[in-house]
Amino acid sequence: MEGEQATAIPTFDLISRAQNGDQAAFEQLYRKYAGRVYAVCLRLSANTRHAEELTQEAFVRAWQMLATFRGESDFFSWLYRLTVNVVFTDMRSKRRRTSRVMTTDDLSVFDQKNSSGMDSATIDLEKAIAALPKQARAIFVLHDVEGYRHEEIAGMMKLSVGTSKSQLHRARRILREALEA
Amino acid sequence: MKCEKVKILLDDFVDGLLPEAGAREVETHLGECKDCQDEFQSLQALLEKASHLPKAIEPPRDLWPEIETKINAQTNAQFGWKNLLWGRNAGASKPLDASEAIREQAPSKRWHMSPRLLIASMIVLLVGGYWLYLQSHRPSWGVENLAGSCKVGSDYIEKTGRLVVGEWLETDEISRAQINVGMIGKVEVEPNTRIRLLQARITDHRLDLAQGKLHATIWAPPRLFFVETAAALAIDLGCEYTLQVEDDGSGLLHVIAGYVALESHGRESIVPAGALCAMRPGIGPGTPYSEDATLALREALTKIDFENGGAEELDIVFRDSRFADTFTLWHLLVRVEPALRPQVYDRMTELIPPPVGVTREGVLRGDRKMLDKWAETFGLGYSWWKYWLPL
Repeated sequence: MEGEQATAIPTFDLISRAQNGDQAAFEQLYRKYAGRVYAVCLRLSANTRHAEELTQEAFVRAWQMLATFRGESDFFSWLYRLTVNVVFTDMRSKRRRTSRVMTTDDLSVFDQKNSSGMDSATIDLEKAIAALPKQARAIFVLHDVEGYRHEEIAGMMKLSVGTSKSQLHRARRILREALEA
Repeated sequence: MKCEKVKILLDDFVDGLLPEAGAREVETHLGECKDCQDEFQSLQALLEKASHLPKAIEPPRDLWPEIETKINAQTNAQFGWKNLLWGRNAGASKPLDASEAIREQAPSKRWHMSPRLLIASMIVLLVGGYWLYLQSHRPSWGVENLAGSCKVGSDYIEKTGRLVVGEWLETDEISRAQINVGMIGKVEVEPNTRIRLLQARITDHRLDLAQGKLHATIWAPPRLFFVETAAALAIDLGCEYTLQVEDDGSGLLHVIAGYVALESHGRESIVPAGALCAMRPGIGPGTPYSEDATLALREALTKIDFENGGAEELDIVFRDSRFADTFTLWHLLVRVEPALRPQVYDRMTELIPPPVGVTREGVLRGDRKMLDKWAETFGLGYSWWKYWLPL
């Protein structure tokens, strides 16, 4: 992913210690990346409580899978992929599908962020993204916020590239209409 | 280049995905067309805002304690199994930290399996092997993924798979699938559906629709394909239909071609092509009605079928019924209270007189042969499949 190298300096020592079972090192990795993992969970799920559960699940899964991280890629890219897989697996699950209903309260998280530096335009955009249809929202977040390519998104979401493009077009149109209204 | 085409290409243009010639054409058009220029600027503004969204949002609370608990629980569970398997001290009560657990995974000093455990393991392997053999020989139907990725059993399928007897097939918001019903038809499974294969015998093709919607097309003789739902059993009588089941178990059958019978709780409804029939768990199928029946007639039927409606609702049905609704009245003949049946009989005779041999007295006492004979005169053709004997 583009831009990743600038934001996340791989902490090889922490990763190596965590791979040897050092939970304290893994906690430091959590502290380092929790905000980024939570951000993607929140944007993909549009539900604060659900995003917390998904974040937990992503880190638990990361702990289980740490041995498979060989350092060929940036650690956060690996963690991010794993998180997106956790979210999509959850989306496909029947249990989640029937029990998760987004409410307008869920969007209040973005209002709370106002005090920590988000301007009103950003908050409006976050709310508009949260209100998008699920598939269009996921594709917009992955493509336009996180910088994935259509081919990568199609692979992750098990869609055709054409569907990814058309859903992105749909998401952008809905967002522009919402922001210009 | 026309505006419509430019607007379609604009996404690829801003994403840098257009070939050079195409990008040049779009650029030229943008220089000449204010509408498209505005569209382009609006899109750029959106992407600019999106690029400035914060990459990190701190969780509203510290999630680490719960993560740590889950990790420890898993680690200790793994260690506990190792103790059991390798004959170590299984009674250790002190929770292990992860490093201890991982050290335990070191490949030395492992072969201490007790003889009793060895025998138990062999039994488990034999039973497991036999179970796997049975599983692999269970009857199954082919499944094709039509959109998205549907789940069969515990696996997601990309293109094709097999639905084994007892297994569930699930689709989510975006996925659709097709089940090939042995040699006799196909069932398209719509999004948000949960369906299970119950029987795959030559004389009994049976699905369980727990929730969602299916579209069945069956080209076999009657009474070979069945769909069980919480509210009623749908029996194929050689037809094409859709069947929808809601979260609360209520459902709606819409027959496109042929006939379908719905049975449950002592009620039976025969639904011909172009008709619908609602059903409710604990009650069974309602009275079928034509797809162009009036709204008032449908609402009156809902009250009669499921809400103890009576004479008042029956009047609405009489008022709105036409020749095409005769089959609805025919069902009501045996459903309404005996005191109301003469009125139903009279309204039916206005629409289609009973054939020779069918008497008022016989119909009102519920004579099955007379009812069937009358049904045949308005095309319900009931008796031949009623007594059809499958192979």
